[in-house]
This record gives sequence, structure tokens and C-alpha cells, in this order.
Amino acid sequence: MQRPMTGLALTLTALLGANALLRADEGMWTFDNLPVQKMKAKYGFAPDAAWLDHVRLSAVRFPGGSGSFISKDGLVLTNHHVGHGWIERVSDPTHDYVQDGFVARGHGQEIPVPGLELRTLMTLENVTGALDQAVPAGATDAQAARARKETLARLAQEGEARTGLTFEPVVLYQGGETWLYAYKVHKDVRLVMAPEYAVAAFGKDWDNFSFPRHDLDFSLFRVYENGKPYTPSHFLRWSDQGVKYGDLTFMVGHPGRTSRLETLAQMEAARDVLNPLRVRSLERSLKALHGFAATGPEAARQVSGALMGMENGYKVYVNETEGLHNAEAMAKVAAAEKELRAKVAQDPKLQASTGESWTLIEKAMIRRCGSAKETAFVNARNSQLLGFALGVARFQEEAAKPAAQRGSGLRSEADLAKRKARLKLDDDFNPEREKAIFAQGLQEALEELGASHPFVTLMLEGRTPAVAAQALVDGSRLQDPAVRAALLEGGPKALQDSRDPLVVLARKVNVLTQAGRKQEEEIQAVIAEHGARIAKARFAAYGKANYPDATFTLRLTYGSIETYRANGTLVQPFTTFGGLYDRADGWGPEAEAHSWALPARWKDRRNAVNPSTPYNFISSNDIIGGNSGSPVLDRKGELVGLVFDGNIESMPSRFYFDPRFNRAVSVDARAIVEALTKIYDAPALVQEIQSK
Amino acid sequence: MRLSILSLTALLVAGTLLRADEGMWTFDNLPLQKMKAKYGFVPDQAWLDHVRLSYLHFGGGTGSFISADGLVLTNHHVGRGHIQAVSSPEHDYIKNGFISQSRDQEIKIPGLEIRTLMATQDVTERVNQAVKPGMDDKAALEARQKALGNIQKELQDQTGLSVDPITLYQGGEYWMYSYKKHTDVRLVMAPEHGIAGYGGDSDNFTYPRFDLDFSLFRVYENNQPYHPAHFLKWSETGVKNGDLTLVAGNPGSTARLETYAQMLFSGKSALPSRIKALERLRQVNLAYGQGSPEQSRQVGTQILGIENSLKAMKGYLAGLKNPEAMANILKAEKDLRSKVAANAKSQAKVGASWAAIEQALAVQQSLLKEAAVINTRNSTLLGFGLTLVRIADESAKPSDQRLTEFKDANLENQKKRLLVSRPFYPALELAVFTDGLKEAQEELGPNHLFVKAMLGGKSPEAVAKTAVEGSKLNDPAVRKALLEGGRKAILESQDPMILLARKLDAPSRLLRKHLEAKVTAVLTEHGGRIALARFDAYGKSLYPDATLSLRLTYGPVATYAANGTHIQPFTTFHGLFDRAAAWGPEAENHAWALPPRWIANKGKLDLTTPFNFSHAVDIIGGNSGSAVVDRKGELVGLIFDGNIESLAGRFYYDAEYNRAVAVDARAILEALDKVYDDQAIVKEIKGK
Repeated sequence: MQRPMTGLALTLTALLGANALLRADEGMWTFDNLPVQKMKAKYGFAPDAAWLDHVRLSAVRFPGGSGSFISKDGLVLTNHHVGHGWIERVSDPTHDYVQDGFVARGHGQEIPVPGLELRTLMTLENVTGALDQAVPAGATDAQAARARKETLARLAQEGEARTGLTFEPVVLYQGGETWLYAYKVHKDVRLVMAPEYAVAAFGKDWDNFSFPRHDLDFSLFRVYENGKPYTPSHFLRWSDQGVKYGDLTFMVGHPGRTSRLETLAQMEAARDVLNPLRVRSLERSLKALHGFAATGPEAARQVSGALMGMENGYKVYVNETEGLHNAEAMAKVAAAEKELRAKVAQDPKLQASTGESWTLIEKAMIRRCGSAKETAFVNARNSQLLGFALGVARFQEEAAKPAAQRGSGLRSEADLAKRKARLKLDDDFNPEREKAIFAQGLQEALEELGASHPFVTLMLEGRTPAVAAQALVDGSRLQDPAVRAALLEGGPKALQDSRDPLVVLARKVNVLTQAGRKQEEEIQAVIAEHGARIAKARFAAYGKANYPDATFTLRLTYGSIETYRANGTLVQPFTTFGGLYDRADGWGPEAEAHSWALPARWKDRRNAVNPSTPYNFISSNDIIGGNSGSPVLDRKGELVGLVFDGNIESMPSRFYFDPRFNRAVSVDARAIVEALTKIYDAPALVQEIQSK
Repeated sequence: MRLSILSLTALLVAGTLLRADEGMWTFDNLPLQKMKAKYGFVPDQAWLDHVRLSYLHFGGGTGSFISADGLVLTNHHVGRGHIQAVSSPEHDYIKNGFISQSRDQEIKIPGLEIRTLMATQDVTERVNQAVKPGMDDKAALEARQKALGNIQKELQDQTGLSVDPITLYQGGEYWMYSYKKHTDVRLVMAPEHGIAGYGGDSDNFTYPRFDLDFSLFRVYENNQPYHPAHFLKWSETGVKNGDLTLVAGNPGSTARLETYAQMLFSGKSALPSRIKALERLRQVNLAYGQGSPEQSRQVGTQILGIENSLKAMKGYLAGLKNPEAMANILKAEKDLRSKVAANAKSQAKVGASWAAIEQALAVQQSLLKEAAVINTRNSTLLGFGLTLVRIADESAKPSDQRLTEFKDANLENQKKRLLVSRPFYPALELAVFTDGLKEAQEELGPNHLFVKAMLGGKSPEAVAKTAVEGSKLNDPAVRKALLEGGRKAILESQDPMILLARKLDAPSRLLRKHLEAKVTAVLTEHGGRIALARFDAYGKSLYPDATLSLRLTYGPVATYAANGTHIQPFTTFHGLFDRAAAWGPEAENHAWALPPRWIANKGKLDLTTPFNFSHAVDIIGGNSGSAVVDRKGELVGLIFDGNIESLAGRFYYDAEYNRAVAVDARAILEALDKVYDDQAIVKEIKGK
């Protein structure tokens, strides 16, 4: 049984922290480098190659999240909040599947989701050596970088031609390793089932990132190929018995981004300048979006996904910044850095290559902080139309240069085509929403940069932000998709000739930001170069005992169902359906704008469900945003849950992992079956996911 | 969002002394205007009299009359020691609960006295007149104590009531509180400890919570159920989120008007030293309890009490480590001191008081270890011995020269208490006394006079064994004989605990005298002066620190931000079963295992029934067992705890996070009806 952490355990952890780099079940491991010995020692189990292949080929990547195949007919499980934007996209004012939920009764009712692409990771190859070999002897830094880039692009191109898969370069360990990941892309994805938003995100933003929790945060999609349900080579079996307290759990998914291997100077810059700026800005944007949502139910419907995402981001930034103020944790980060620097200093070769790297990164961060306001506020100011115009201006500027002089990611013709494709705007453009958030964005620029800043004078021309936003949006013809298409396809001439007020502004703003963009490129180059040198020094010092920072690529994390100390007591490892009704009744349906109100179906069927069915649970797996929708597996590789969140204590895990308090929050697989059976009358789906 | 709330609080705090619904108000000085402005409700005199006469002082806690036949409601944890006292290995009412099937099965509790507050009287003027110009702090303290003793005795003789002197505002006011005593109190109903203290020490001082922490007693007079003049009616509607709640009760002790230096002393010395001693006592009790299930039963209440104190004190400490809150306290003190300094007369009288208190604290610091261990060392028998020795000595003196607890007004109580028969477990006594002596030896060193006197060159084990095994003081008849035999009997007694008590008596008196002269006298005198300066500066807009006497506090059923979200204002029976299922019955030594009755009767319960709720009233230990009433004065709940954030309330009230935790009255009825099938009591409570 897990005893509460005592003072002794605390000190012990602190001691270990200074010496060992990894504690407990920390780590977002790549599939080629699992801590097999540690896993065996602690759990008497480590997955073999067949296990790993099976789960890798069962996993899928969603835009911004994770998912998995759970039937031979290509049924895909992910979170509701990963699917939210897509469910919103196939909804309309008369069919609000976000609010009301959706259950397809048969394949014929499954709704194609335009634009949604899922990916399965088919192969992965370490090309670090190949890139190093491509660098001719005596090459300068710039020549070396060029040679590596060209080789990488060539390898990817060759691979794609050979396999028909989509290749993505993946930079691990801040540049210590480079890989090519090859994906099968699924382009015909249909919505199968979504619970009501109110039960998927029960407790709304209040309960987000907290536990005990009661969210049925799942949704079901199906991959089709040639108009038929797709048959994946692998899919996850649904566990018959589920998990219990203390059980080993695995999660396979795509953690988005961590900064644990960054230098102390980078973390301090985030703590003192970059994050506070971001928090302040998000506060304003939230206010504006809430203001727009308050104008009517249809407005609220349109921005519900955006609001959820923004509130989520806000809570993350506030709490991860708080984590950076945790003196004890930051002292450990500093101690680890000091230790590595000492090791580097002892080795003349390392000292020559890496000795200065920390100082150079620190200087780059000082530069970045100095221009942080410019970077943050001299931009499209949340306006979709100005954003489009700026994108076109930037694109034309780059396209006009010889390939070698273009910015990164724009050198090949294919890159240019991709960038151009990305400039296309969604069809759900709403001028009133555009004006509201643009006005707020301009107001923010005014407050942050001051009325006499060239960008502000350019944008406002003496008007108030609201008046300027209204005039600019009303005066622009970019609202018309045809006009946008003409501008995008018309080359430099169309851009230069345009009299559209937003295009005129975009040309001027583009000039205004030139110096800043150049500086940011320089900063990024320093961080990339010296981040990689530090990573290599770390390999030299500790071998490959460490895992790389998250890169929105497939990782495995393991842990166990484990309590933690919070709120004066030990947090219960599971919640149940009974707890859901307890919280609903404990608040009543009206409180905090219906945050804990249950959908009608859930009220009507409350006596049908077994209240002691497990609902959500916590485990000590190391995850972060991007893992949303990852399946939770037992040692047999069977599906026992669906991770959807972390507790509030997990927020600082972008920078460090605290095994005492950091917990992942998952939907119990049994809750999904119970709800599909008793609430949604979907026996066919239950049968499909339970068939072996 | 939490951040913005925080900064707002900080701004508000700086400007005003009292926030939100803060305050443990005496009935003579309620903030009526504030109440009216915020809730449109002001209790009138009849309301206040009704409430006062329905509430009870119940040992270290609170209770209330809830029927015309003298039925009394309090917490299970307030009644626990008494329930344990009438339990036995064969009848473990703690573990199994107790339901009297009829009135003649109600079990009389030996020694339990509960009290109704009949009258209060301000005697400040008369007490202060006893202090003559030129008296030093020590003489002033003695003069006040003498005056208080005299008034207490006069009143007692006059009214036949039991009278307590109460010092309010650290000496700013002196009052006499007169109580009617009820001495025939019988156990009527107790739920199983497994549901009353659900979640054990882990869930203690937390919320959301699922404790059915109530028990029922009945007051008898002349062997008949007593008919109180007032009792609380059970609400038919109950409360909902946001509703105004009012709570009368006897909050035990707060330190909010203490000086900043006193708080620092608590944080640096007093609390850590107390926590260390309690951790040690906990270990001894736990080890004893592990001996057998019966031993575990015997120490259940003690362990619970110790763990409760430990968690509370750690919470107090955490409160003192909150830099923002402490800065506010320091700022308020600076504000008062600058007001004092601005007035020459005030400055002359009070200007030096803060420094005087700091000096007294230095003395206290130097005697910290002695004050902690020169006592009866956890031994019940040595406690009897010391009381017997002192009654013999003190009775020979005129009342006003005795130690306070042996003055005429208190002497009879002391004697009575000595003769009560309670369960006694020699092996437990031996374990705790042995460790108590060891602790003294370790803390003071083997050469300390007290240690030498108690051990006489022998080991703690040997001394404790001889004394516990050789003493007959666990027999009430032996105690009675010694009491009646007076000084001669004590001097002739060869009972080893009497002999030890005589060795303990001198160093203990010496220490007490020294502390009274150098610490208590200074704190009383200068605490009183500061209180008067505060009256001058702010009027009587403040409430006094808690003194285990009747107070009223009010506030709404309310959420608070914690654990990354907003905490639900109510829990329900659903939540109880959720927590039980989530942990399973084995986890953490069965902390969340349900009693068999609860598992068997789950199907009968309406699981949506509210179970516990959190509300923004200002309470602290001693309020346990306080009925929660609505504006009609009807009973809607029963206070039993505060959240973890409320513990800082010993030093300051944080309106944003401090919440009381109550059993919902509807939960009590639902359980009595469906789980305990106690229809007679349901009917009696409903008054139908």
C-alpha cells in the first residue's frame, strides 16, 4: 500500500534528485530507448518487441492529440476534447452535436469530418549518423547546417517516394539526435459517437486539471478507406477486468512539448518575462471571447471550442508559472545543470565545444526577453483577415528570394506549396466575432506598447481600437473567399496592387517586423546550436539514460494507479458514477453557469447505471498536453482507460516531474462501456469494442 | 482566476480590520448593522435567548437540546470518550454503535456534566478596581485573581448556579458566566465510529467530507427526562447553497489578538515543541494498540485525539508560515502602535507593552522544556495523586490564597471529579507513564532536579513499574479514603503514586509560580492594556479571542477554491459510497471501510440526500457539536470540523478559504430512519 509521503521520503527524494537524473516512473520514452531494467526491477515486467509493435501500430495521432484503433473495423477512440473542434465543425445551429451528443446508429449514419487527418507511425529511423557524414571536413557551422538540412530533405523525399508514407523529421534531445518518422495518413475519418459536452467536460473549466474528477471525456471516430471501414493491422483489445489500485499502467501517445532539458536561463526567462506576458494576454483574450459568447446562444456555440482551448491554456500557463516559482524544485534544476557543467569543465574537449553554450543561450534569452513585447503584440492581433494578409505578404517576400536565403521550412518548392495551403482560411468566418476579438487585440497593443508606438499609430490612425477594428473589417473585401483566393494565387503583383485596407496594412506591418524576425532567427539559431551541444555533452556524461523532451511524437510512459496527498488528505485513486451524481447534486444544476448540470439523458437514466462502476482514475504516468486521447494499457497491452488530463499539481511538468504529486487523470474503460450500454443504448458499439 | 481573487483579498485586507463574516461574537456585542446590511436579518432578543438557552456547554465542546424531553445532540467525537467509558470488550459501542431501544435502555454516563448558560455579567470595573496604583504586574495579577474568585463565590452562593470567570479581549474585559449544570446525562444513540469518523485521520480537517459525526444523549432530572425551557426545532426544509447559517457554540481558543511576537513565538517554539511531544505520545499509544484488538479498542479515543491535535497544530503552523497573512498582521499591529504613539497618554500606558510581552516570551522560551515535562507524565494515577496531595495542602489555606483550581468556587468540582469511576487499563498506564518519564529524562537530562526527584537513580521502566503496579489509586474507594483522611492520611500514605506526587508537587509549584509571575502576569497586564488601546482606537467593533464560552458566528453555505477547482458546497450519500468504492475497504488500514449496517441498508437510502456541507462561519475547536440554525432558529446541521485551510484560523480568519464543515440535518434523519431504523427518535426529533 502506498503510504503518504513523510518528511523522510521528502528529504530522500531531494537527495536523489541532485544525483540521479530520473526518479520514480518519470519519462516520456521513445520506443527505441525504454528503461527496460528499471521497469523490470520495479514491476517485474518490460514490454517486448512484439508488444511494442502492436501498441505503436494501434496508436494514432490526431491533430494536437492522440488516439488508438480499438476494433478491426477501424474504430478510433480519443478524447471528446480532442474531437471537440471536429464535432463542432460537423454541427450546425440545428444539429448541435457538441451540446446534445451524437450516436450513429449504423455505419450509414457516421458523419465524414472534412479536413480531419489521422496518422499511424509505421517506421522510424535514426539518421543522425547519416547527417553527420554528410558534413564535409572543414565545413563552417553554416555549411554544416546546410549540408545536414539538404541531406535530411533528400532522405525524406526518397523515403516518401519509396514507401508512399509521409515522412517527418524529428529532432530529439534539443538536437542531440535527428530521426525520420514515417506515417500512414488516414484522410477519411467519420464521427461515430460523442457524448454531450456537459458530461464529457463535467465541471467545465473549474474542474479542468483537477481530481477527483468525473469526466466522460471520450469520443469515437472511424477510419475509412475506399468508402469502406478500414482494417488496421493492429488494434487494442478492451480489457475484461479493468485495473485496480496499485496496478501497472502504460500510456502510448504524443506528448506535445516539454522543456525539461532546457537551461536554467531559459526557464527563468519563461518564469519572469515570457509566461507572465502570455498569461496577461490570455486574460484579455478570454475576456473578449467571453464577451462575444455572451451576445447570444449561437455566438456561444461558435466559440465554445475556442473558449475551452483558451481557458485550458490559461490554466496551464498560470500553474506552470507557479511551478517555476517553486524554490525547492528549481534548486534541483539548478543543481543538475551545475553538475553537468562541472563534468563538461573537467573534459577539455567538451569544454571547448560546450563550455560557453549555457552563457550563449542565456544571452540569447536576454535578447528575446528584451523584445518580448514586440514579438507578442506586433502581429495580426487575433484578426483572421489581417493574419491572412500578413501570411500572404510574408509568403511573397520569401518566395521572391533565392531558395538558399529563405527562412527555414520554406526552401523547397514543396515547402512553399505546403505553406500556401496552410494560408487557406476556414469557412466558418464570422465578421462580428472577428471585430470583437480584433478590437480587443488592438486595445491590448495600445495598452502594452503605448499610443506612440509605430505599430499602434499605423493600426489606429487616431481611432479607438473598436472603431478601427470595425472600419478595417467592414472596409476589407478579404471576407470574400474568392478575393482571398485571388490574392493568394496572384503572386507579388496582386499583393502590391491591392488597395484593400488590410492588405495595405499588412505590407506595412511586414516591413515593421523585419528586424524583429531577423533577430528571432538569430536567437533560435543560437538556441538550436547550443542546445544540441549541451545535449551531446549530456550523452557523454550520462549515456542515453535520459529521455528527450516531448516533440509531439510517439512515446511510451509507465506508472501505476497511485494516490497523492492534497487538500489535507489522501486523494482517492478512483471515482465512480456515484461520485458524478454526488458532485452534480452537491452543486445543483444552476451553480456557476450550469458547470455541474447533467444532460437530460443522464438524469433520466441515473437509476439504470451501477453507481459503483469506476469512472475516472489517477496514475503516476508522465504525460503532458498532446497525450490527450492516449490509451491506457495494462501489461497485456489491453485497454483499461483513456487519459484525458493531469491534476493541478502536474502543471509544472513542462519543466520538471514531481513523482510525489504529479498524476495523470484517465477515464476508466468500464465507464465507457457502462455509459454506452445504460445511457446511450449503443449495444452494437459495445459489442464491437469488446470483440477480440 | 484564483490569482485575481487572491490579489483582491490582499487589497481588502490592508484597509479593513474585519472582512466578510469573520467573528466569534459574544451575545452582548453582535455586529447587528453588518448582519442587517448583508443578510437583511438581525436576531432579536427573543431569538438570542432561545438559542442561548437551547445550547449546551458539553465538555470541551458544544451540544444542544433538540426535544421537549431533554434529548441532546452533539458530535460523535465530542461524545466519543463518554461512549468509550460505558463500552466494554463485550459491548464495543464505539465500533458497533449504540441504539437504545427504549428510554430505560439509555446508559448513564459517569461523571458527565453538561451546562446551560443562564446569565452573563460584566465585572470588569470591579476587577480592575482591585488593582491599586503602584502594584507591579505580579501583584496586579494576584489582585485580579482574588477579586475574580470573590465575585465567583458570591454569585455561586447567591444563585446556586455554577459560575465561570471569563477573561475577554486578553484582559480588556472580565465577565462572570453562570451555568445550570446537568449531571444525569445518558447515552441514547451513537453511530459506528466507522461512519462517524469516516476517512479517519486522513480525511480529518478536510472537505469534501462524508462523516456522520453525531451522537444523542438525554438529560435526566430526578430520574425523569428533563424538560428544558428551550430546545431547537428541526428544520423541515434544510439549507441550500448561499443560505445564511448561524452557529452558536463554545469556540475553545484563538490567538488572533495576540501580538506579532506572540505569534512568532508560537511558530518558532511553542507549537514545534508541542508537536514533538505529541508525536512521541502517538507512537506510544500506537505501539500499545498494536498489542491486541482489545488494546487497540482501549486507546482508540486517545489516538484519535492526539492525531486530531497533531493535524490541527501542523495546520496552525502552516498558517503562521503564510507570508502574506503574517504581513497583514504585522501591518495591523504597526497601525495600532502608531495610533498609541500619537497620543501621549496612551503611549505612557501602553507604549512599552509590546516590549514587555517580548521579554515575557524570552522567559517562556528559557523554560520551554521544563513547562512541557514537569507534570504528571501522562499518568492517570499520578494525576489522582497530585490532586489528592494538593487538596490536602490547599484546603488548609484561606480560599483566596489557594491555587485557582482549589478555591472555594472550584474545590467541590475537583473532589467530585476525583471520585468518578472510569475504565482503567494498567498496561496502558504503564506504557505511557514509562515513556513519559523517559521523555523527561531525555529532554531535561539525567541531572535535572525534577528527573532526579522522580527517578531516584532508577530507570524510568523500574520507577513506572513499581508505581503503577504498587498503587491502589485506580480504586475510587481508596481515593475517597485519602480525600477524607486529609493531610494526615496523605502524609502517612505509602502508595507509590502518592509518594511520587509529593516529589512532583514542589518543582511543579515552583515552575508554575515562576511562570505566573514572569509570563502570565505580564501577558495579562499588557495584553489587557493593548486591548484597551484597541478599544480606544477602533471602538468595540472587534470580537474577543475564543474562550470556550458561548459565541455566535454567521455566514452562508459556500464553496471555496481548492485543489485546482471550486469545492462543492454539499456532499451526498452518493459521495459516501463513491469514496468507499474508490478506496475499497482495505486501503490505509480500513480508513474508508463502511460499517456492515451501511452496506446492508444501502439500497434503502435516498442517495441524493445531502450528507455534509461547507459554510463560511468562523469557528474553531470547541465549536464541535454546535447546531447550525437558519434565520428561524431551526436546526439545519451540526458543525463537526473545519477544512484544512481553516486551521490558520487560530491566528487569523481568511474569508476566501476558511470553511466550517457540518453534518446536514437531513443526513441524520435519513440514517436514523433507513440505516438504524430508530423510529422513536425520528419521531421525537421531528416533534410529531
